[in-house]
Amino acid sequence: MSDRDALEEDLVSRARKGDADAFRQLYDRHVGGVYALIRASLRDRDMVDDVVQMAFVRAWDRLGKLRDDAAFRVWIRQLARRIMVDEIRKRRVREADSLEENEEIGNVAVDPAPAPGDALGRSETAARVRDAVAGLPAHQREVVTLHHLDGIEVKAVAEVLDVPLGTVLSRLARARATLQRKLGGMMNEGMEG
Amino acid sequence: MSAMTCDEARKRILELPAGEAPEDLASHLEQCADCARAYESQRALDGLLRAVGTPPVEADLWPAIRSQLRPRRLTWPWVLAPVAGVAAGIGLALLFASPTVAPTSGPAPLAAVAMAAPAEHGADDLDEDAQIIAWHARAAAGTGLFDPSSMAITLISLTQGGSELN
Ligand SMILES: [Zn+2]
Repeated sequence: MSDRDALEEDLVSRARKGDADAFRQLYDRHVGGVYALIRASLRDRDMVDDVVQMAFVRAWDRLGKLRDDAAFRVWIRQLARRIMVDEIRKRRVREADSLEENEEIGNVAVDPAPAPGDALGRSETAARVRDAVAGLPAHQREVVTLHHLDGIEVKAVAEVLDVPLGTVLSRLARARATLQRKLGGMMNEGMEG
Repeated sequence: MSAMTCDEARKRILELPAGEAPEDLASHLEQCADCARAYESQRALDGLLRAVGTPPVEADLWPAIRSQLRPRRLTWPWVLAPVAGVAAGIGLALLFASPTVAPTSGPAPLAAVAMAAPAEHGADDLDEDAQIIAWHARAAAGTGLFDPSSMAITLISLTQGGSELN
């Protein structure tokens, strides 16, 4: 087990006992991934905020039911996504790129988000990459966000999305083919330079 | 085993999880420059995506989340609940009888707080609140001291529902 995993398990265990500071640290670690996942499917930012908040509040309430402390990373994403699906139904959201739509239609420009503190994150490269990902159909965007941007293993991606592993892999393949076309030039520049 | 075709290799490359070693592809990639290039190109794409990472979250959602976190309850065995209820009664009785209570912060406001507390909680919470009150009463009995201010803090916190967290 890495130090990072050990620390995470300790945080989960402390949060379960009522330590809100430990839970705050779990929030800091995972809010980026959870937010990006929900943002991959919803355009309404207020609704994204709501879903992410609900996910963390519910996680706090249900932490006692999490059997494996190391699984928090996947669990919180799964929780958030299920809440999102429920909220879409409840609010009868009719997003052009919501999950009900044919996944080849969803091609909605998501505002390229300003980037984090690190050099690449703030760069024009990052903006172009995020634009390319934003242009993918919703289902592919989710898979790319979870697996590539957030670093979640493919089996766990299947758990989060409640789909078979084969579905994840085929979405991944289609997304990559598209991204290669859109970003190929950029990568060649990078490799040659 | 028959050799992998280029179509099969390309499909396999596209479905390969990021960072995974393509053992079954190795021999094809050694012999086929085109597929080897496709593989390298994909590795570069994977690396680029991972380096870019998830976008930052602009909104600070923590304060809103924090305000909704319910304090964890004391998890006493249920068998103690009736005992705790009795102890709570004794605790309140001691409070009213306590000579250390100053007139300005006297028993009447505290009692009012104590009465107000259950109203904001559900039926389940009532027993647990009683347990917390009882804990203070018993702690006081154990030390021979009764500390109304500590009691008051607990009662006030129960009405606000959040003091166990900071
Ligand atoms: Zn080949």
